[in-house]
Amino acid sequence: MWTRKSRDCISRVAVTLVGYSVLLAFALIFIFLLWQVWPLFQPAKISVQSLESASVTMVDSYSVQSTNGHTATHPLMLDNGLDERVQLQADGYFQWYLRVGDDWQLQMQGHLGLASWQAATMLSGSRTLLVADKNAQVYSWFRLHQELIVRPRITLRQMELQALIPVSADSFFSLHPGQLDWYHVTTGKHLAELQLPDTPLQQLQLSEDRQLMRLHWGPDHSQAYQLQWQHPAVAGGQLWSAVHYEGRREAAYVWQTAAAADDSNPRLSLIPLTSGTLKAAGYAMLFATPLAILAAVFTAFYLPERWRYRTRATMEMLESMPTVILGFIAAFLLAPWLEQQLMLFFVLLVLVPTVLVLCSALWFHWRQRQQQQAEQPGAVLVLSLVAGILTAFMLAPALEHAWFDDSLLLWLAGQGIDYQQRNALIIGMAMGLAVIPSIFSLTEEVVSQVPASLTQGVLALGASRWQTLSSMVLPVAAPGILAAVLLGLGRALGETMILIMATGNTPLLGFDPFEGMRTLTASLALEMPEAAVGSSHLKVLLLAALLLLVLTFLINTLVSLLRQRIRQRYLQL
Amino acid sequence: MRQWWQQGSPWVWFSASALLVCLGLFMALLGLIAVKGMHHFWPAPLVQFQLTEQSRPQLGRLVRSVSDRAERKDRAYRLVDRGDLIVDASSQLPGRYLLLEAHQLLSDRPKQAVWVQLQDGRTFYGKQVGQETAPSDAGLWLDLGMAAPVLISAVEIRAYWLPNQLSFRQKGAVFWQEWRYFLTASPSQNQSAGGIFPAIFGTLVMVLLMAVLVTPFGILAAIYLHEYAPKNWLTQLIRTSVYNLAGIPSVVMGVFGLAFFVYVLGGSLDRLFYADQLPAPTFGTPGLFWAALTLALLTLPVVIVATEEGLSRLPQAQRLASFALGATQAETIWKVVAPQAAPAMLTGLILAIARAAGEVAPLMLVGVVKSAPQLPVDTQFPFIHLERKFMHLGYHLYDVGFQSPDAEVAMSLVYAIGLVLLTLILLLNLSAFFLRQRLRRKYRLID
Amino acid sequence: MNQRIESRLHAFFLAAGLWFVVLQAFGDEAIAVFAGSERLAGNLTSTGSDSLNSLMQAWSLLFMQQHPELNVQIHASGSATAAVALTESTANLGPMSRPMTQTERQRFEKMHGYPPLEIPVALETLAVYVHRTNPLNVINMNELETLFSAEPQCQPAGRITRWAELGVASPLGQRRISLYGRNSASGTYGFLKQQLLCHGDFKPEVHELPGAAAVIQAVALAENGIGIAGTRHQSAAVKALQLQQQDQQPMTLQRTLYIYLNAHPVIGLGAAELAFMRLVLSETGQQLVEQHGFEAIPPEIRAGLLQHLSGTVHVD
Repeated sequence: MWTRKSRDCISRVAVTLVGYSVLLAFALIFIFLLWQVWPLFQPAKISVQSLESASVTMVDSYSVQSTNGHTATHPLMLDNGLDERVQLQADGYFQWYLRVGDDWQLQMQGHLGLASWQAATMLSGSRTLLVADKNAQVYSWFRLHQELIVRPRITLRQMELQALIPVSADSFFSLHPGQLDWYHVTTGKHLAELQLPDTPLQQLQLSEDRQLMRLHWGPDHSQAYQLQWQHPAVAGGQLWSAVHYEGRREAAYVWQTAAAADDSNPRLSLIPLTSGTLKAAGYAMLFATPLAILAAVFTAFYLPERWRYRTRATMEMLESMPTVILGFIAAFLLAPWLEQQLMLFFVLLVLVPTVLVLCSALWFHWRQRQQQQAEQPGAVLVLSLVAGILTAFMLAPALEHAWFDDSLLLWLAGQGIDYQQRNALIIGMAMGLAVIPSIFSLTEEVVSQVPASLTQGVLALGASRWQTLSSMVLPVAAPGILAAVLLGLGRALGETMILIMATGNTPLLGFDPFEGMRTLTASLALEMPEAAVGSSHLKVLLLAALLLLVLTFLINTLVSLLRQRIRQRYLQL
Repeated sequence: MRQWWQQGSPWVWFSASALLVCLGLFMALLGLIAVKGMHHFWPAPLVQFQLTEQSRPQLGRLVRSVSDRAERKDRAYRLVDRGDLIVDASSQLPGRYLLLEAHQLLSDRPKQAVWVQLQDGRTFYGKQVGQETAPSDAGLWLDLGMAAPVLISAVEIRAYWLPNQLSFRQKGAVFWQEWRYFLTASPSQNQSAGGIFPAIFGTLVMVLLMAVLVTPFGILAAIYLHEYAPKNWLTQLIRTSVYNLAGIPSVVMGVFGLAFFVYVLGGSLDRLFYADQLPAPTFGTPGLFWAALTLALLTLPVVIVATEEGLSRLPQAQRLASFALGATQAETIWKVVAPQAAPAMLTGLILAIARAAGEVAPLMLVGVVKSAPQLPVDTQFPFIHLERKFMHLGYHLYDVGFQSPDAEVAMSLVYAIGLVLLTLILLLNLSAFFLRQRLRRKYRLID
Repeated sequence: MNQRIESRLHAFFLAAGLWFVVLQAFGDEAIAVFAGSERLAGNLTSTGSDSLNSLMQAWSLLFMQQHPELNVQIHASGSATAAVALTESTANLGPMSRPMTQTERQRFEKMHGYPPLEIPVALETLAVYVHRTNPLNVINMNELETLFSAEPQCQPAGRITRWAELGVASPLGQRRISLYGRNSASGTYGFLKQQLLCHGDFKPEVHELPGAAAVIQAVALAENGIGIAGTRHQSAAVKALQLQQQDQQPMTLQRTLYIYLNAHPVIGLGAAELAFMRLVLSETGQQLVEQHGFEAIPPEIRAGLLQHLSGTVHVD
């Protein structure tokens, strides 16, 4: 007896534990990603470090002169520690040199446009010159060939300025009496501040990796600090805003990961990727939704039981079609074909529905003349569809010749519309094909489960089948159809292989149908293996994964709510 | 006309054609892959071509016609495969594939033309010199269009035939022989020749391992949800997380697999058990086990949903009868309910395997490689090498299509790989479909 | 919170997988790597460059013929993955189609306390390809930079977006130029960024394709395409352009391909790694290099490298 009972108990506990572990697994994914991404948003900090542990050698030191030191007449010589050097006069006149081999060549000279300035510096390892004027404004310029490009201005604290000190290729200190501020150049963000004792500071030293700083107030009065800023590429809000990077003429949303390039801070704007994901999913839905819903409605409402069952089974099977095959065909077969036959594509798009409408009207008319019920034709429909497609095939070259001088592509190019082979239309078709089965299955299920009592009632009142469908069935099933569309959207947002293979991975903004895109998913699959553990790049990719997770989570929750609602509705009816 | 519109006639036509278009597109796709995949193994005739008027005729395999539209004039070319080159440096033209104009092709197709493939995957087309039809003990003397005939030794030859002499039936025999070879051999010549056995094997081992991992969890979770779970918010939450787990993009699951399973779990495993081998990693690197675990997480909802559906189809009366006989809940579940729902569980499992077999994106992150000469299962202790990397059909397709050195070779090979992958998945799906159908019929009778 | 979950899952995982862990531990003892003897066994994992992949495969095949109990696994998804994998110790060999960057070196040093060992193993020439019907034959570096870069950094230049701006007549001249390159993980991408763009950014319009074959195939299928890939991938369907410098001197874009290794300064290189590198730099190894369409490392440099390698031998 005891063993039976305990067995029951053990079974219950084990099964319950496994049941809960599903919830745990899902929560784990969320929490793990959140935990990984969290450090991205930690602000910069300057904290005191005990002297003993700070045995790292300091490579750069800056001695701080007494106040209003270099407003003197002599020109100031600035360099970036590498190959650029600027000579700056008190009146704002400058000469910019570049090191070629062993000697310095004058690249350009001119006037900064400032009548006077307080302090200036060049960022180490970069081409940016920073100059502070009397009104606590820091101007930043960089040289592009023989041109000075202005980057956004930074406003400092309204205090007496002692010096500007370069920290990294992208950030600097402004030293005031009793105060040290840390600024990020690219975004102009104030990163951190440090209160200093009143004694005048004599020297400031930085370690090579820029994680340690030592301040000297005198021969035996010094203090080490730790500079904490793990993810400079992100903290300034670059993820979601346009940034004016060095070397570019204007601010832009750039996604360009450069594991291969030392000098640049990574360009990690999630805007192009997010817009790419939405664009790809949008075009896929544009293609898939009408086709899938119409097909599902027809299957559920018009096909005889036997055929309905077969169609449904086929669609379910097609749902597990490997997308890697679709991607390959889209990239190397569909894309070149569509470029050659763009005209045919448009002609098909217009002509086939027109032919269908015409044929249906003719058929209806004819049947009425014959005094027969306007039954729905099988063979005639297939014939007219085939006829429509064939006509389009025959008509397209003639139309292209007549209207567009033999080439629609060139005509479009003449209008300023450039057709790229890997574009949103291709993705719309390939990914649309991948999501059609998901939308189809759920729509079909929802429509066919509408209680028969309802439809029969409406039919008995003399409505045609279509009238029943549009006035009764579709409104009742609407939440379910919405759920189906959302399910398809969720799948389109998460699709990867088609996008890697057929988009060209161009991180472009906008929704141009003739251009490609780069999506979050494709970037994840392409860049995860290259991203160093702990780097901002990896964390931003994890953030992208989290973003996708949240998006699909919202969509799926909505789907399950809608499905629940429709189940209840059916039960009530 | 008004009546026509009111009765919704055009809409019916539209929806019917939408269904036709959907199915037609899919069928066209499947047909395309089937035809192109099959075509890869059908012995193509060998033709003779001359690069210039004076040069010696060479033999090549006609691949397809290509037409260019330059300066508004169509120019037709033939794409010809001239086989691997014995001496690279002497040839001016790059690669094995040539675009030839019609006048460069000679009209006669020599009967003596031989297609020969070596053990290492290299393929040559040449004219047989001498009269014997079979290679002599020494090997096969071939005229490759160079100054002197070349002797290819018999031990090196994997297969050879004379395509221009083959009858239709003989071609069929060659076709099947080549298919068999393709399915059972390892890739050679940088994936562009040979077979795909390691990829098929890797795929199967990975999905079976995944099945071992996912089955107990999926079934127990479904039993919990259907038999034990009280109707409260927590159960609702678990249900929601099952749905959401199903909706997580597979690549996100791959990201999680790499960042958590490989870096965190695998890293700590290495520190605990394999510290002496560090810095060389054992489990702290993508591998078979992590790939299976990631895909198990991905396909868990598939198993849960299918099992639960099976459980809900069982008549409640059976459970009540079991209780009435004094059985505990555990006994009812394990002796009455579960055995009857077994086909449903199997269905779920097969569907999960079908889904896993077609996934590529997460695997790219957690353990698939383009070439793993050693299989993850072998005769060496401990027989299953969970830490090894493996090859996978879907990834192999991607790799051959995008990263093989010769783009043209890849093109036709990819369809053959795609055909194998598609057949595998369709077979799995079909078996799941028939299992489920049988189950449904059975319980319709009981009801 | 998450720490707790992690440890719980950890514990669960350990329990579940204990049997094979035990087996594995025994198994690996049985096939430990021998140093100095002829019998090498175990696993050798290579992670890195896609360009070097075919060559790595050829070498590893030859290597495994010599050492049948050794398993060489090759993972090729781009050069950047080599640096990461070596730093994280997830690979023994790191083939790269560009030198490691300062940041990557620093990361490695921070992790291991010593720099990675860099061995050049082959040379590769890159070429610029256009569609076979394209009338263009020559392109200079400045034009190429202008084409591919978001903002030209080497030379001041205008913008080139249409074929007409490269002197191609209509009808192609009217069309926009489609640019094809490799994805950012590849060494080609990094090399071009350094050498062609002077560390500038690529245009966002540049198609990033995950393989050299994909670049060639894409150009072969697009009349308005131009792409950069290694010369050995050339097919009949594309045409290679002649590259010129500013002053019309012909030039080539040549890069060195490396294998990076984790060589401890005291313990030295593992025996399997050393044997592999010896094979790579041997006469037969370099013949394979030429067979695969790369260029071999000159013998005198090779001799020096071999000597250097022997200096890092693991002596038991």
